[in-house]
Amino acid sequence: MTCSEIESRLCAYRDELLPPEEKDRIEKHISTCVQCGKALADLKRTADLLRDLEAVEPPPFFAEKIMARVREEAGRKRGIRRWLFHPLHIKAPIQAIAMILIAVSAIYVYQKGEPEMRKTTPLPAPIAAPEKGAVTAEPAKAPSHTADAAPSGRDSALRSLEPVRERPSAPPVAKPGKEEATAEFAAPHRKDRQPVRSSAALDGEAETGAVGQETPRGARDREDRTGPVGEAATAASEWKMMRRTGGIATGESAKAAVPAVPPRSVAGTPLDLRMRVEDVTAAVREIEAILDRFGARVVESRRLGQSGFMKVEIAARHAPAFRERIEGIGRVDPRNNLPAGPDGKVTVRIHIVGNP
Amino acid sequence: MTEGETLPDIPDPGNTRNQSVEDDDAGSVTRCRRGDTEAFASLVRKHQKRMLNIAYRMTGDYDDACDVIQESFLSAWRSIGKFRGDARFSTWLTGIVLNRARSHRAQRAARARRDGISLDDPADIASGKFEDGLCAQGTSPAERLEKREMEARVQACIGRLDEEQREVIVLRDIQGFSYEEIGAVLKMPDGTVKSRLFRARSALKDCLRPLFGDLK
Repeated sequence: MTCSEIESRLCAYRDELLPPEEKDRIEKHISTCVQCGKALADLKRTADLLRDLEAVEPPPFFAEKIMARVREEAGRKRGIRRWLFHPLHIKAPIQAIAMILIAVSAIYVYQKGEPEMRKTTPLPAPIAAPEKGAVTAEPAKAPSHTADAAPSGRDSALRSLEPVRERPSAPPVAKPGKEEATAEFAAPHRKDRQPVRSSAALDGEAETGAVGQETPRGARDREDRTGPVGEAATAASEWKMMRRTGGIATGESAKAAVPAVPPRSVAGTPLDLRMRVEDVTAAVREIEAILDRFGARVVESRRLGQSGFMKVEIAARHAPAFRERIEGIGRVDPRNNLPAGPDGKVTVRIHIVGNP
Repeated sequence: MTEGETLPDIPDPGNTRNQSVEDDDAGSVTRCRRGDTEAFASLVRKHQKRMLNIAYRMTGDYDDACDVIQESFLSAWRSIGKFRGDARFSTWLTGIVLNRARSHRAQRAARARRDGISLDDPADIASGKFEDGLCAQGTSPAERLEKREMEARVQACIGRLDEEQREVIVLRDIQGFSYEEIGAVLKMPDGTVKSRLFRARSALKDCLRPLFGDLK
């Protein structure tokens, strides 16, 4: 047996784990080999040092600290279980009934809630362009909001808080002259004689930059279509294209889309606007004042808690200006403007929601 | 001797593999499973010192060892329902303590790497944290100081061992566990335990050899 073999077995030898014959051989070797004898002595000293290491004592109240945490955890677990289920024969039926009540209440709230909670706002219907005579080149200043409209506005605001009812449109107190109104409504429009795009379309132009140069053919086609029906169809098709593309169609594409859109009555599909305002009552009052000025007719007005609802009929050519005015009262969605149309009525449903 | 090599299984005086596991703590464990915290308190009082010493030798830091033991007992309480009783409660608890000590030491090592501090610095012993225990032996201040320094160097050498070697050294040579118990705690056969222990002793002997000249 070599020294390295002996050394690898010294631990087992010291622990008396070797068979007797191997133990004898190691003892004989150690008696004659100084190096292996020293290795065994070092091993014994190492074991003695480990054995003599001082045992550390737990700090004072160590067990109590541990048990405090254990009891806290045990109490929490037991408390939750007890709170939820004990006594089971009483709490289980209560929990079942509560669940049923919650489900029924949720269904009831969903069914009886505000209309905007149940359905999405339909997109505005296409409106034909206003008659050619209404389009002027010069942007004119808007009619001033005079104080003489206030009394009528206050009365209508009070009326708006009453239950739903039909009432005729109030005559405007300070009705702007034809030229003034024409200039106001035409302000954002183009100077040429092309059919007027809706201001929504113009907004789309400004925001997206999607409008290309109109081709001569497109412009010629537009001019060829004379008469209110043709212009209405053009405007309707542009509106449709704008809805599809998020911008405004080029002349070519607008032309291509014309046959697909049948002429529609401007008073057909109502337009939905959603307003978010600070004070619903004040907003209703101001909207009614504006409506009075445009000679619009309030078909329906009602108040639902922190929100209000108005259904109005307004001349289509006044629609863009109306939209601009009510934006001064609060945030209006959707952001695209009401489409301008020819003479005719457009129905607008305004959902007024107060900020929480 | 290579890492994978194992010594043949030789009958161990302390080997009780073939005997049925008789556990003095079985009754307390049964009560703990029913949520009896007093039964668990008795187990804590019984095992706290031994477990603390294992944790202390594994971590080399008294405060860390206290944290490890608190977490270990809390963990044992949470999972006492999973304890099947096929080993002694103390064996099962030792396994939890070793696991906690391993993760604690790993966290501390990461922190030390970040802060540039050595893990093997036996600050507790050198700073005289255990002066009271040593005074009780009636030794002189010079002897106490010498013993404290010696313990610090031994602990430093233990700290330099591999994690696996340190575990078997602590369990066998410091705490006196049998090979069978160590095998049950570490979930390995006796032969592996022995070969690992002998390598650990050899490494420790090499580390401590400079001290032997100073020993009386």
